[in-house]
Amino acid sequence: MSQSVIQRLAERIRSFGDKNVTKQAIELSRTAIIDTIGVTLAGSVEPCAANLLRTPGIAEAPGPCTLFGTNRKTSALDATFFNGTASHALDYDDFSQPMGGHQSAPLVAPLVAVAEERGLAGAQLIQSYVLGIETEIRLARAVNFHHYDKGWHPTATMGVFGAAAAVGHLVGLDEERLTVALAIAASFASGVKANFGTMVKPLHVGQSARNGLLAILLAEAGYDANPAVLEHKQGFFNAFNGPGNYDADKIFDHWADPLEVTGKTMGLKQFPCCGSTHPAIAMMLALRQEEGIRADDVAKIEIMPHSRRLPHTDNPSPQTPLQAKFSVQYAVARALLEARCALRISRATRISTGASRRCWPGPPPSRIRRWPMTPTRSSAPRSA
Amino acid sequence: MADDADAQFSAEVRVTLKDARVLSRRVDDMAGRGGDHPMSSEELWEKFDDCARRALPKEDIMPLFERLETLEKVADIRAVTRLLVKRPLPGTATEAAKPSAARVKGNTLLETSWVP
Repeated sequence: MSQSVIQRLAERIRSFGDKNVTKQAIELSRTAIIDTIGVTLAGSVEPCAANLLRTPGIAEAPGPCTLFGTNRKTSALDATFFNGTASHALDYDDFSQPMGGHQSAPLVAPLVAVAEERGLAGAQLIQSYVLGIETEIRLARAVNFHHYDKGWHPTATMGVFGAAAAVGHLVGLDEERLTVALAIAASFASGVKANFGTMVKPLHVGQSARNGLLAILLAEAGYDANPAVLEHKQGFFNAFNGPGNYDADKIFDHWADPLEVTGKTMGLKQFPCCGSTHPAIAMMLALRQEEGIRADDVAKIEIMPHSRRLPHTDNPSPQTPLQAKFSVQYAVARALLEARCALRISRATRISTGASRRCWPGPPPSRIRRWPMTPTRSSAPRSA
Repeated sequence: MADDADAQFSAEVRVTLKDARVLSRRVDDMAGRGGDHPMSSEELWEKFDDCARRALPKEDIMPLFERLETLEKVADIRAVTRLLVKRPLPGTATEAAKPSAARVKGNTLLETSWVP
């Protein structure tokens, strides 16, 4: 009998090891893990994370796992739920174009929690992270962008598989148990984009990370599940994408060769706002640094992002912190005023614009908009 | 254009100065930092410090970052996670009240005795 998709995947996960992981992959992974831990600390004080700790039954279980940025410890499941949610609270974590989502956030929380619980080494954690990235982005290639366009939140719906694969690899689960865990993960996959822009978006990430870990723990405890759950007529592919709207072979084409973690179509977020504003911010920072431009010297600013980057970031008058995150005019103004674009805002900018001290605030637009700013759709890149 | 097409993250910014000079910069594809535009260690630190300061005391952040920079050499991840614990400020009422205070004090010793 031929193998199911999940059995083929489990076989690859089980055989993934030192031979697959290059020095470059280790360095890129370490950077991404450091970055994810940083944004998790920043997110740990956000309402979406703090509210979890006010919810009865969450983080009350005894255990050795740290809630980042607090002095509380709990079970691996609950620590993963909290830290996973916090990691995406600010939408400041790294992102992948083929995934259509954020690749590290679903992985780092469960990997750290399990490694902390079981006293595992950093090198093991990194290798399992590389495998988790491979799994979730490979799977995303099989279902995107139909999956994304339908309204699924791939960070969560792919992340749950990535988390299960990564943790299963970390704890050395055998192929049969890995198959069960991944099949359970298919039934845990969830998260719809209608809840973007609310606290539920990061909650999706915490939930998928926790559920990926839970799938492993259930498989370890003796659960069973259908190995054909992806390709079944009422399985994941048909239920989430619909017949004809996926290609399972893409999971295995070029599996780990080259590694997804070394791909060029993903990036860290240097600035705490929508990724579509980042190229323009970087160009304003370059002008400020290389040409010595100062805010008082400027008469007019023209911003020309790629046409895909503009519709959701063209907002000259953001009224709330969330709107400011999606305003390229605001972001470029911050870069010009401060020579950086960080969570913290300088005292001088606070005074001159009336902005609040709270991170990435939306100051009164009349005061930050000291310049005429015209965002325009730019033509295709010159080199293309 | 396909959703996963290359070069979707271009931008040009053109600034007109009060003295009528026009200056501009352009990048053809910069999807975050990575690939052809890797984030430097210094830039990673700036972001990490900015982020971590919302949750941890200022002086606790560099030891954590330095430990993470050699993550692949950490024999037990608990050497990292103990640095992710928020320590109560010395002399505060909560420090005496929390049963975890002794464990947290232990963290301080481990952290400060560590040499890269």
